[in-house]
This record gives sequence, structure tokens and C-alpha cells, in this order.
Amino acid sequence: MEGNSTLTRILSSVETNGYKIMVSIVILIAGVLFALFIRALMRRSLGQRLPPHVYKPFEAIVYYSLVITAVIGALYPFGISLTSLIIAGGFAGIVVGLATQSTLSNLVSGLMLLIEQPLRIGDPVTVKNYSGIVAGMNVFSTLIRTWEGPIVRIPNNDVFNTVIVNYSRMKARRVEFTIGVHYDTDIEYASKVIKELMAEHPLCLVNPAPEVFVEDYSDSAVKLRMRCWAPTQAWFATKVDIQTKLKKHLDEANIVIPYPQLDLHVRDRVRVSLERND
Amino acid sequence: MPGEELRLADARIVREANGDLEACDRYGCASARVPPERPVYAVPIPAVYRVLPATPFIYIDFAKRIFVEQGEDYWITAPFEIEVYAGDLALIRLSPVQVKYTLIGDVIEGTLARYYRSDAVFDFEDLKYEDYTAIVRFFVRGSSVLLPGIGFRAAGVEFYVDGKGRIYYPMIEVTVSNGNVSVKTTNRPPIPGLKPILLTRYARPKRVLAFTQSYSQNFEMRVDVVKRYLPQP
Repeated sequence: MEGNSTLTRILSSVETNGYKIMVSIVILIAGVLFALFIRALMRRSLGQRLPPHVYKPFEAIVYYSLVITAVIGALYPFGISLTSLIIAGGFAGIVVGLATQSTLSNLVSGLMLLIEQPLRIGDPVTVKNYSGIVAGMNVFSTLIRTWEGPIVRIPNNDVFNTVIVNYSRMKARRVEFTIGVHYDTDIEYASKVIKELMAEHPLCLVNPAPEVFVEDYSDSAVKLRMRCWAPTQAWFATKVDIQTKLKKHLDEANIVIPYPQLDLHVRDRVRVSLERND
Repeated sequence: MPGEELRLADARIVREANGDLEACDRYGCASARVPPERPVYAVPIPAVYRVLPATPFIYIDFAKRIFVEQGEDYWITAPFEIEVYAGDLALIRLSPVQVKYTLIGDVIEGTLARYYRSDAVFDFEDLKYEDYTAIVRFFVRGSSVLLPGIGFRAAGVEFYVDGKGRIYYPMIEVTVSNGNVSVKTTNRPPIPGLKPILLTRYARPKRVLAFTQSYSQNFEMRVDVVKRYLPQP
């Protein structure tokens, strides 16, 4: 008897709210379909470009936000006020936002880095005084394997707001250093000898051409600056190799790399007397 | 057959009777012990791997700029490298000549290319060809221009060989339009009828310069070897 009355109440409620239920279902279905459409669009446009560990959470955030919006919209025909939900959501958002400010900041910076792409995995870079290879990037942090080996985790917010030097974007990088030669050395000859070394080296580019010039007349030596360009990936090897061979090359050409020295000139004659104890 | 030596300018491959194999150029050596019954091959490959596989392009700087015009073809020389195989396994790549690279264009937007200097000539007979260089023929379309050199994609191309054992890059097409020069590496032999001597870098070294016969110190014998390994018409 009681069961019958419950059923009657449900049926009567369906009869009264049938229209609202239908509208709700339509809003829900339309919202979910729209979310699916946006997800498919994102997969086609961004899915191929962003790495999976970045794209997946990004897709989930967008997709579920749209689905939740559809669910809230579906409640509207039943008189559940969106305004109160939005206010409640807003408060919750402020509380959560304050609590997770740095996390969200890193997330947004991570997304901005992925859009701007100032660095990519495998790039040799300097970020915040850490130099090395980019070992990984995710939405919250960037990993750099330093030249010494350790992996440094830098929050994306710091990466985004600091100076980034990326060494992989150019085709060639300049190798340069200074060498001192003795004041008795013929500078033109020394320049020629150093240029020959760079011309012989396979990784010193023909163009831009290697160059040698006097950088400074210092206390003990004439400082020569030598420059050549090398393929970016071989920059360090080229620098080390040339630096190593330079001494031998100069020795073979009888060009002296002087020790620090100081010439003393005595202006007036000075009488020096020596006393012997014996 | 063990106890042999193959020399080509700076490149040297020595195979001892005890199975020791050493392959060197001016930039380094590789050595291995290979069973005497195993064949050792020296395969000519495009000169884009030694000392660094930094670029797929070769730039030939002409000793003198050359005036080129529509419908004409020109001859130059370009370097090649040798890939040494023990059986199916690659041991090392050697460069018979000095390796240099150059940058064409800007440091950021430009292109890195293997550098070589050669005379560009109108007639094949005038070409100063050496055993350690390959031959390039390029054909010009479009308007006339003074060319200081040409760069072309060389990685992965198929070499051709003539009856005298000379190695050729495929035909290069140069198109000049409004002062802009574009270069295309075709897959056609520079002279009709030349046979390819290496299919791809993945090909098994069947049709290559074999190193299993008794060689003297020059590369002349490769003619016979290539002939032997090429499919007969």
C-alpha cells in the first residue's frame, strides 16, 4: 500500500517536472558533446605538439571543467541558483588559489614555457646560474642535468621569470681565448701561426673566418685574442682541442709564451758596500 | 684476403694476416680483430659524416666564380668518405681529405655544410680529378648568374661509378630565379648508363668496393672489383 503511494508520488513528480528533466538531460548531453568536441579539437591541434606528460593534464583540466559546467547548467531548470553556486565556487576558488598559489603559478608558467618554447629537452642551456642539458620538462618544473652530472629541479615559475641562455638555437658558436706572446715576437708571424692552427682544425669553420688580433699590451706579454666559429654541438671539444694544441704549435714555431716578469731600472748610481765578517 | 693494405690519400686500411684490422685517417683510427675468412669492405659514402655528422649538406666553393646560364651543365669535384665494414658491421668512416665545415648565411638562420674547394669547369675533360674525390655534374635552369659555389644535400645519396672506377654524385639541378639560387639533388646518374655502387646506407654491402682481393697501393683496382660486384647487363 505504502509502496504504491511512493510510486504514485514519483510518477506525479515526473509528470510535474517532466519538462524540466528533459531540458536538463538536453543541456547535459549538449554540454558533454561540446566537451568531447573541444577535446577532439585539442587532440588534433595540440596533442601532436605538446609532450604527453604536459598535454594529458591540460586536456583533463579543460575537459572536466566543461563537463562540470554542463552539470551545473543541467541543474538550472530545477531552480538551483547558479549565482549561489558561482559564489560558493568563487570562495572555494579563492581559498584553494591562496593555498596553492605557488603550485598554480608554476603550472601557468609551465604552460607558458611550453607555448613559448625557449628551451626543449636536450638543449644545452644556462638557467639561474645552472648550466647543463635540459633533462626533462613538466607542468611544474624543469630538470637540468648539469655538466658535473647532478640533476637540478627548477620550478617553472623561476624558469619563466629568469634569463635563459639557450646554446642550441644557433648553428655555430664562437670559440675564443687569449694567449700572451713575448714582446720580442713578430706579431704578424704569431698571428699567422695561430691562424694556421685554426685553419687546419676540422671544426673551425671556414666562414665566418678565424681571426687573430692584439687585445692588449700587458705587463709581460702581448695578448693575442684568437677566435673561430665551431658547430654548436662541437663547441667545447673544439675549444679544448685548440687550447691543447696551441702550446705545441707555438713551441714548434719558436714563439715564446712569457712568464710574468718585471724589468727594474735604477735611475741613479748607488754605492753598495759589502762587508765580510772574516 | 688478409695481409693487405688499401690507401687513398689520408685514408689507410690495413689488414694483417693474424686478423688485425686497422683503419685510419688524419683524425683517428679504429682497430678490430676480424676472422680471416670474413670479408672486409670499403664502401664510398657521401662526405657528411667525418669528423662530425653535423650536416647533410656539402658546399663546394669554386676557385673562381663561374658564369652559369640556362641549359648548360658544369663539372666539379667533391669529397667522399669511406665506410669500412667487417662483414655486415660498420667499423669506422674515414675521410681521405681534410675535413672543413662552413656556415652559409646567418649564425641563427643559416646552414652548416661540409666545405670543399674545387674548380668548376665547362668540359669534363678539363676536370682535375683525383682518386680521392668524386665527380659532380650540375645542370642549370632559369636565368644566368655568377656562382661563387653551390651547396647540395649529400646525405643518403646513391653514388655511381663509371668503367674507370670514378665515383659520381647524382645529378644536381641548379635553378636560378630572380637572383635566387635553389639546388636540388636528383636521384639520376650524371651520365646515363652509370651504375649505382651503393643503394642506401641500410643496404647490405654487396655492390661495393671489396677488400678481399690482393690490392696494390692505389685505387685503380676498384674498377675490376666494382665491375665484378655490379650486376652485369
